[in-house]
Amino acid sequence: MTTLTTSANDAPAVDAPTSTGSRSTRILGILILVGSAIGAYLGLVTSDADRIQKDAVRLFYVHVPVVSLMYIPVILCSVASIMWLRKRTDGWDALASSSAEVAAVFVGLGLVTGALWGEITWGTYWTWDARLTSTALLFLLLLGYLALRRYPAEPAARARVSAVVGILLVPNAILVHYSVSWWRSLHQDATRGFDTTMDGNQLSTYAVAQGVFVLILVWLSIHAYRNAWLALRAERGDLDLAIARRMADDDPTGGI
Amino acid sequence: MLLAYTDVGTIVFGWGITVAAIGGYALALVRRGKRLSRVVPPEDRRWS
Amino acid sequence: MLADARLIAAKDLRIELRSKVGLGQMVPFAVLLLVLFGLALDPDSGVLSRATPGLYWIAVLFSGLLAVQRAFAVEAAPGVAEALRLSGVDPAGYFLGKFAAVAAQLVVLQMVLVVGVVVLYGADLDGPLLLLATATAATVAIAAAGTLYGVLAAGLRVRDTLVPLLLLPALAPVLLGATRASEAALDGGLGDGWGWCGLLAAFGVLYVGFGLLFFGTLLEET
Repeated sequence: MTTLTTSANDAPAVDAPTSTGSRSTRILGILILVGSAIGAYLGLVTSDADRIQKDAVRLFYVHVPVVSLMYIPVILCSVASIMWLRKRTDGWDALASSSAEVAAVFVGLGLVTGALWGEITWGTYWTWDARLTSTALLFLLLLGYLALRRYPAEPAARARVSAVVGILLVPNAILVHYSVSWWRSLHQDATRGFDTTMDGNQLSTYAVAQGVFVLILVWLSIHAYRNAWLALRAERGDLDLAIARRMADDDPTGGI
Repeated sequence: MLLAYTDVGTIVFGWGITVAAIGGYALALVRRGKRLSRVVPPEDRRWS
Repeated sequence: MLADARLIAAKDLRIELRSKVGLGQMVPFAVLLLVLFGLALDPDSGVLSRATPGLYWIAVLFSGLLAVQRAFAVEAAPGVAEALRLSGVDPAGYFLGKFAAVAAQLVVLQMVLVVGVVVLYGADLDGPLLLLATATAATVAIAAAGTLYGVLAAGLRVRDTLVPLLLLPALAPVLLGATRASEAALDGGLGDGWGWCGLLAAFGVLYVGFGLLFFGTLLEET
């Protein structure tokens, strides 16, 4: 039979963490900081300018890893949404919302770095290039999802609606990508493409950059997930408290 | 050496925005995490 | 399921006919858009006639938004959603019914817009078969996606800006397809037009499928 109150004897032997950090994330964090420093030095100082792109390649060291990784949290959000519909647990809900948040950061950065790269190589920030346009629409899709999640509503209703919109993220992104690519292929100049093979110390610099961004993605995802989980728990706590108060109001004797 | 190449401004800006965005988001996450951890009971905070 | 669909569609259309919000507000809004475009895009420079397909479909999209929001505002009144659930209406049937009602309104809307575009922009309706096919496919696509995202309004009582933010990026491929197909038809070089029409049809089928799949979830009790 469970007691209604907790006593000091029930307190867990291990102290609960006071933040979303843990040993693994701290190690990751240090690796990221060190790796970033090395990567920045390599990318900005010691590596050579590209034969064709000249120094625009230095933006590639940031842009390519970001766009190569940005689909992972998007897909994760859709998958988590499907799993939530089947299992209805907070964990999947937290995974869906946190992945979308991380995805928005990566997609947004991909857009900005892509536009800046275009500014250097093509002379303008925006050319309605297929990749850039699809990414912009993906960003808007994500913003819509995030706006939905922030909406004040019953947690269960919000989770349900978010799940459906989340599942649709991947099909929408695919449809957008396909239609925009087809559209732009009808107009594409041959000169738009760039020889993107990397030689010499460019390759090693890129490898460092890619590695660091993978670590960044993992670190952000872990923290975001734990945050989302805590937020759901806090909401539930508020709800229980409100219900308990209401019951206490209705029954002056205190319940039992 | 840093200033010797073309389009320095744009490139530095690009790196800068990346650092700012990721760093800023990371900071926001950590702060939000600390705040939420204070509110949520210990049984629900199980990671180390 | 189909019986339920017919019931829901009939109810919605009857409400529309009686209240005349559709006729009274959406159609004038669409025509207003056409006129505003004319004001913004100097008719003498030829931009307007070149941009006609795009402007037409944007007008359809935005008016369609109104139709969708209206479709679910009808049920946002407290107790109505509950009553529907209790009445045992099949969610799939409910989706099809709502979808049909929205599609019907879009058809009426487009009939007016076509006249508007011919009169105001001097459009020559070449390639009528492709135009018709495009309009049909795009209407299905917009109505299906709109109904699916629109039910969110009924579920969450959201502000008016959320549904557009969710729906319009999802409809970007439809805008692309419909415009390119219409351009192809009007230019006479039908080449890619039917391909784009196919894309629209695929989108429509996909979203009707999603609607049937997810509507039950969206209508669940908390």
